[in-house]
Amino acid sequence: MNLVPHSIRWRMQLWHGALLALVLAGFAITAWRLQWADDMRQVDIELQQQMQAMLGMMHGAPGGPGGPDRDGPPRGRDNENPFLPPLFGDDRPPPPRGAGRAGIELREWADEEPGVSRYFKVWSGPELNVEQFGGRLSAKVTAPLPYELPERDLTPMHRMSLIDGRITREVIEVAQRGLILLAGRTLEPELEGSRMLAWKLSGLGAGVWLLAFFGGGWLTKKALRPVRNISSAATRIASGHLDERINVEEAESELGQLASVLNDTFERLHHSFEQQAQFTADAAHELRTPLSVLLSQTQLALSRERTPEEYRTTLEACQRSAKRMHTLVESLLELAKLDAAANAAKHGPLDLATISRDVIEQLQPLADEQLITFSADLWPAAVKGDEGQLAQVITNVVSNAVHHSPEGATIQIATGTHEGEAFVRVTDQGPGIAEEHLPHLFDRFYRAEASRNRNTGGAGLGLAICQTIAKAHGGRMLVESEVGKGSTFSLRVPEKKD
Amino acid sequence: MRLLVVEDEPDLLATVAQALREQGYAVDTASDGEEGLFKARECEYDAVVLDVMLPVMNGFDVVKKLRETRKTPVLMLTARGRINDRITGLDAGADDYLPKPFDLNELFARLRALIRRSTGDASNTISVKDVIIDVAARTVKQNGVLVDLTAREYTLLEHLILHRGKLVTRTELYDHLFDENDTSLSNLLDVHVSNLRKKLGHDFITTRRGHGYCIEA
Repeated sequence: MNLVPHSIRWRMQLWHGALLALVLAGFAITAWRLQWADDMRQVDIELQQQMQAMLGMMHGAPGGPGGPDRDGPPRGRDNENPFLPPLFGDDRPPPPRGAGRAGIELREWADEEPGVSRYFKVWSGPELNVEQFGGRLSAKVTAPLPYELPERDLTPMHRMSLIDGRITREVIEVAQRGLILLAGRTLEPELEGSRMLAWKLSGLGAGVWLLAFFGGGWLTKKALRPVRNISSAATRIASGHLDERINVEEAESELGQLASVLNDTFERLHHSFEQQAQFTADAAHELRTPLSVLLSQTQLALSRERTPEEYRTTLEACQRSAKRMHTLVESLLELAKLDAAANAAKHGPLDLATISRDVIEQLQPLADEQLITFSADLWPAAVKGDEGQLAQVITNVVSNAVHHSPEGATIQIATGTHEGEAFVRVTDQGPGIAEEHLPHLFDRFYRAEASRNRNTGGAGLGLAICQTIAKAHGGRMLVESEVGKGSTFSLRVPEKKD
Repeated sequence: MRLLVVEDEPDLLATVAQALREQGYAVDTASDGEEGLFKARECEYDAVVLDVMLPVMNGFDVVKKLRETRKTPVLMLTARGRINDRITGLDAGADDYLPKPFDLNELFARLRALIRRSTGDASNTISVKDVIIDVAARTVKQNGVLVDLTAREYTLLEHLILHRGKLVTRTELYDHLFDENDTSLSNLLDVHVSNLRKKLGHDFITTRRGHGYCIEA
């Protein structure tokens, strides 16, 4: 495939790839975040459970709410209670800072996981009373509350924190008696799991992306193959094989319709070219005949000494041929002009009746010679068109009628309108035209034998020119004729409506 | 030699007919296909020159129909130079094809070739005894010496030599030496034969009384 980089295929692939990457990324990120949120929920539940246990312990622990006071240095690990019992009084005011603090019994968590550190903080006032970190009492530290507490109790609050460079999760609860509890733990397992998940998702995503990207590319290629086929077939046809057609396999699909349209266009082009070739061949043929005469006549005349009379005869024949060629050339040029400028004619409002009247006047002398009379019935026939061309048509038809009418005959000329069309009708009393010629009468170069008239230079183009002009005006030529009964030629053109 | 020229263009018909007559042929003419076919069937011409684009019946049909009854050599003329037309014409039965416009001399040469083929002669020069005839140059030599003959004498001799060894009837001679427009009297034939005998020797032409003439091969 030799499409340039900005081809449909590459553009589609790029967009496809980008969209896919976006979708996959969004999906992966969402999945990852959901998993993380889920993980944190698990951690929160765990922390809350511990906090509840803690609270329970505090109630019965010495120094804790409901527990005996504790004085003296912190005890060791001989306390069986595995949980840290913080020590507070019930309604006693918080002990003054630094004075008389109860000791803290510390234990390691029973279900300590390796790599995870848990901690626990309790406030009975604005200052931290107890802190346990990693199962060992780190210090009795006083630290302010991490944030402003709202007035009322809330469900547990969750947050992330950073301690000693390690990410932790904390649950803070406001228990009864004004205690604020905080349970937290580091998140190494979750972080690890999250990282693993991220890698997996990335790997999977990348794999899926590659698959979809190249799969999409393959699909695009497949989908575009018919287009390529059509394109190459069309190129081939257009480059000179106008008689071939594109193979249309599925006429219903969009491409099928495209191919059909192209085929129709080729059909019309082909036909048009054939017509033109035919026309040129016919024209050449027509010219060859008078040329033949010229060449043969002159060759013969020059082959030996001739009498002046013979030379005269030869020259007269040559002149006849030259005139014929002249007429033919003029007609051909006329047709060529008409063909080329089908729509460019000067269109103005005209009346066929007026034009007909002028034509009759012009041809009257010719008719008089043959003792032919015109009978005119000219009703207004308004059209839009080129005066010169329409006059030419009418002149042509009327003079044909004059040439074919016997002496003393009458030619009827009528104009008018009928059902939206303006018409000119010329009826003669001539010999008529045989039925088999009627459909071809207006074809270029067609000569019905009976009407062949070499001496007047007839090459069969006169009526063809009339038809071309009629068509250029959106109308047509018609003929009715019967052998022995004369002929009627009509020109019909759409009526000009104001 | 008698030829038929069928051509609808009057000036061209007149020119070709005149040119061929000046070459010594007797020439009949026709200006449409039907007339041409009729004449070609009626009379055994030595060759027919036939235009393709003819009124009433076109040249192709004329040849096809003619071939049903006659083997007359046919040379077709046409303004249409298309190969298909030539093939159609030749396959219909024409023997040769000349496009218009053509050179008259080429027409003459091709006609000679056609006639030569139909009479079975290999070349334009034929020798009988001590006489050599050159149908292209229209000359007759006896023992190397040019013999002066009139046009009529020449065509008569030509015909007899081309059909040497066979009996040529007087009718046949009339048919082949004079065209339809010729109003010569029949006893002219005897005069021409007699003149030929004077010029070429009495025994050159044999008379079969009541039948015709013959030149022995």
